[in-house]
Amino acid sequence: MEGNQRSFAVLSGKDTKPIGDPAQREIPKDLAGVLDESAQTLFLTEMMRGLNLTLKAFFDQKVTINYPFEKGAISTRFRGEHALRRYPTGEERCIACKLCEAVCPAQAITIEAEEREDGSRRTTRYDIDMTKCIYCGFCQEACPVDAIVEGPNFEFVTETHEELLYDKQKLLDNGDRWETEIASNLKAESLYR
Amino acid sequence: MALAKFLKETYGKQSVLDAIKGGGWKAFLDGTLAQATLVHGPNATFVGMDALGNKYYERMTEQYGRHRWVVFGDLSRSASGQEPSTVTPEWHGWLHCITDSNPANTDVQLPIYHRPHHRNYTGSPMSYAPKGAWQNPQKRTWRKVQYWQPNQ
Repeated sequence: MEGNQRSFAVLSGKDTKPIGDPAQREIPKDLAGVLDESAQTLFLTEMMRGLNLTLKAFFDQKVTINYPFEKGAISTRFRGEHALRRYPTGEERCIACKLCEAVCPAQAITIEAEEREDGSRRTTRYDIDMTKCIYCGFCQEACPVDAIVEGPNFEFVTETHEELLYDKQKLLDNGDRWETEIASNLKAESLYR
Repeated sequence: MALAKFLKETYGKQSVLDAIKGGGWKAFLDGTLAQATLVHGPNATFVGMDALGNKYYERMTEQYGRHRWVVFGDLSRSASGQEPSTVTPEWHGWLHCITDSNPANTDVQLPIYHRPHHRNYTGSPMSYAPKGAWQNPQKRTWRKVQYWQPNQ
């Protein structure tokens, strides 16, 4: 197999070295070798072989997808836009333990908590600066009640910076809209968490 | 024949000529639209339609990763047309090949607090504005705790 791969650039003979860096090649010392290499240079054979490879790639099957009509395959573990989830009763899950705020390496999360009228501890402020966020997913791993999750949506581009400063209302709204898919993804991943 | 049927269904017209007049001609200017409506779309299996009018198609003989696609309800090039964020969360997982289940073959249980999906509103008056943003009418008057007001 190795012998069959010899190309025109490699000189024949016993001391043939494998093709590597052209700068490290052995310079021919005998007349046949010199003539051979001069012929290679004169007829631009290296150029032709390079262009041949380019032409092959031109006729290859393309893997480009027709976005936005076709969309790329993503994983159940995809970490996209954040969302705050609720219990099936509609009660919000977040208990303001601030573990996500503590673990966030970009310090993108800000939480303020206060006692609610019924005595339970809830956040009065849950802000994520999506322009600071690095989408590492530590917040959803730290969360003991699966409240903050990174949903599968990645199409949340905005025209202004301010629109990416998410507050609690926006995060809960994301959760309310995306709950069906977030829940199915979490269910698929439940064996690995 | 399949192409004619697909064009008539996509643009909701009775004849191919009407479909071409009603927006089908734009495929000559728009390469991705041409790929979806003239090349890729016909001869595909119609899987279902979501609440926002997007139609979902599948053809398993296609190259992997290109075997599922959406034909948007609004195919114009306006801010809301050909908008990938209009794909509803119920169909999103199927379209992105996360799962094989979709609302057409499974019974999707919506939670009681479910809210209808909408496109990404950025650049429009409905866009999200956080507290303190210039666009937000209550920009400096927000209170830390907003008490529940019954009967409102």
